Amino acid sequence: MREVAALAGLLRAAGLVVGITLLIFLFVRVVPGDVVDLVGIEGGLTDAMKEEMRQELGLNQSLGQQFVLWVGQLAQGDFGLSIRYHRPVADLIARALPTTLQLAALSFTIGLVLGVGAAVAAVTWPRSVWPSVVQALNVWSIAVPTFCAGLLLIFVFVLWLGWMPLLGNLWLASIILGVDVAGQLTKPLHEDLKETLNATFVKTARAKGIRPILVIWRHVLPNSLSVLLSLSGLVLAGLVGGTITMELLFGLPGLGKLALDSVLGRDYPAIQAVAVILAVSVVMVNALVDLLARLIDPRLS
Amino acid sequence: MTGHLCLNGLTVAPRTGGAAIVRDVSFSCAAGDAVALVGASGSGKSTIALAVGGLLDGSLEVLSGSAELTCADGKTVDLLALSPKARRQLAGREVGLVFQDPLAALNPIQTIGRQIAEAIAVHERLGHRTMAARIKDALTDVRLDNPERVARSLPGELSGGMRQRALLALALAARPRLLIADEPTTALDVTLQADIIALLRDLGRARGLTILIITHDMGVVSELADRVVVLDRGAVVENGPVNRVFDAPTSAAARMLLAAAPRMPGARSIAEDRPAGAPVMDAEDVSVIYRSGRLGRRQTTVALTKVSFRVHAGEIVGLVGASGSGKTTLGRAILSLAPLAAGHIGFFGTKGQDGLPPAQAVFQDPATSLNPRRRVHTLIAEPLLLHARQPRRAIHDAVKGLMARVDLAEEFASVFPHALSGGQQQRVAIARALALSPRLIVADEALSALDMTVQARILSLFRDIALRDGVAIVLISHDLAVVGEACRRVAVMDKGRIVEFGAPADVFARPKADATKRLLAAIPASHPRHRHGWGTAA
Repeated sequence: MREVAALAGLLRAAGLVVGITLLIFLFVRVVPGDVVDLVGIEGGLTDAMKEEMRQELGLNQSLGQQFVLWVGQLAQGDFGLSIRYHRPVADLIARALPTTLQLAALSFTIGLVLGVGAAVAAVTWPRSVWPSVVQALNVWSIAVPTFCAGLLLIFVFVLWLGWMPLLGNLWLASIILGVDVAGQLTKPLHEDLKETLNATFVKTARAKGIRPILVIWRHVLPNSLSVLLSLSGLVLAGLVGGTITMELLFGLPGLGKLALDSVLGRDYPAIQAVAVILAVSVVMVNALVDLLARLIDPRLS
Repeated sequence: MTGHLCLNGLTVAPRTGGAAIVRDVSFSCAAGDAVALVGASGSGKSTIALAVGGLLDGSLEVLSGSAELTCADGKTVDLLALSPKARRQLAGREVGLVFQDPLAALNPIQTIGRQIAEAIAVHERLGHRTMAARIKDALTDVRLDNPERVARSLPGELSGGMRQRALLALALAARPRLLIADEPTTALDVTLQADIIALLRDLGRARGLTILIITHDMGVVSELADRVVVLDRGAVVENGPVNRVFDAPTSAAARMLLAAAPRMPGARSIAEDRPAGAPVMDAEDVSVIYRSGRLGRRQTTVALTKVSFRVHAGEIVGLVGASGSGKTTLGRAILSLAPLAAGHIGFFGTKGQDGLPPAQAVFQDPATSLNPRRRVHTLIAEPLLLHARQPRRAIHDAVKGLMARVDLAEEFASVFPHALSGGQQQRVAIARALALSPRLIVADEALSALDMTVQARILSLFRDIALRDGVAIVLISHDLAVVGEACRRVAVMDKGRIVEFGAPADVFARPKADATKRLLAAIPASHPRHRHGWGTAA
């Protein structure tokens, strides 16, 4: 049964990626005006020149033909040529991806440490300030959009105190996203930890005479990790959108920036490539979460 | 007072104020004695165990009193006055604790071996080999076969009896001299309970353990205890040697608990001489097989093997057996809730009327089998709404009739289940089961969660339903006395088979099958003077 389930999961993931690529392909073309129109406005092209250009770019073919052509290239690992920059899209992505990965990894790590730390501290010392920290983080992440927080911090640290530069400030961007991630993780985890703390096996553990922090570390937290894992999957997927805002705000040359520029420039191959990469990474994150869940809870395997 | 553990004026109350849960409790446990702390649910007995163990949750606090423990080195300390650190040094090594439900009391995602190792490692630094040997010893001491395999297992992979032993091994791993056991057998069936009682008795004797056992079951007390402390609403109302308490209980609480003690089945059932009605249900060579595990290493569990029996209208048939004997599976098969691997279950005389299910169920715990967010009226009406297309008015009248049938006052129609007593909740469940006029009702431990007097009333309701409405009732129960009293016939199950089937008086008075003999032998003595010799051979 397990192999069948795993195979079904894999097929589902593959189907998901195919479905997403098709949707992206269609959505991009639903927007009125193509790249030739844009260039035409800028450069004052005649209709005949535009037609010639479309011919060259393959934009005069039917949507079906274009899709088949694109998927065919994609299957060979070829993302095509950027219309805007006249360079392989793969190059553009290769230059943008490290920034985004850095930003996402850094913010997620900050969020994980802060969120898990606050939740664990809050159950270990319920009468301390930590439960309020959990609450505050959660309210912050719900109520304050990251771009707001970003503007606020830019105002304080860049404009007012003048401590740091604005452009390319990876750390400030990561901290803003990280706090947001922490707020999303910490509250549900705290709730689950509190519930696990009431379990009888926790009493058994305490009756052994081990230190309270070890009770939490060895018995309570491992039993709540499944909650943290499934949340992490959601949060990581959410970070895909979150990084775009930060990249724009701080002028970071990442995937988000590339995606936005491509959309504004109707650079179809680039938009599609970025979207496919994001879709695949979300699907991969979910698969990873499932795998980790099995490692943590031996009952699942 | 002197003794291994002396409680003096212990008072525990909610931190937020309000009535004390434990009031001025004093008693002592002499070294090597087994003391039973008994009381009805809510009498505060578990709170005392938690207070002594230093495990009260944040909502409760000790207001006054002391708990003096004589340690192995001869010093006496007040457990309640110790610093958390000093107390942790005594936890496990001086006092071992065992909680009620072993499945809940063990960490579900850690192996038994790791959990035991942790209990030892708190107090002793041991090498890998020595530790493995200690774990093996701990598991062997509680008479677990194949201790290496148990050590590698997760709690969920063990049977209920093995889990309780493993939990006991964990509590005793650091070799404490005082064991506090909170309802250690309540989650187990009678035969497993007898095993655990025997084990506790032997461990007590072999190690000179002082045992404080917390229970509501006077059967356990009569088999195990030297002294009895009776609690009522948080206060000690009686304290004496076990024989004296059983001979001449002075408190009402003790008398109530004694009346509720498990009994041997009586000599005669009141239902036996009634003639059989027309056959209602016929099970023929029914087998149920559960599959689990991965491809390659697939495991199959045979839950029922070629079970055949017939139930007649208006009779109550008892289904008894140890846990895992298949009695619940058989009940589920009758309800078409278990897939049949082979065989056939047929109902006679069903006219194929609108495809109404011929069998209905009443389960053990009405608090969980009734949706807490539905009012009584809706709960009872639900089967009618699902199956019988009737106008609102007719359904309303039908619910009224059903409530009257189970002696439930009409005003309860608009309340939620939590506002009802256990007995009333079970009446709602029975009314719901009767809603579609079934030919047969499967009552799976439907009386077990109720106290004695309520049990008797619900039982007489079942009898009345069988007699007047001609409904057949399959009563699954671990309580042989109840089955003996109420059933016309009883089927004894063992390892998925019916091994004995007949009138209760015959079956229980002259048991032929080993399974029946084991069940009867596992019923605790009604008086400590008639204690069984369980386990003494070992």
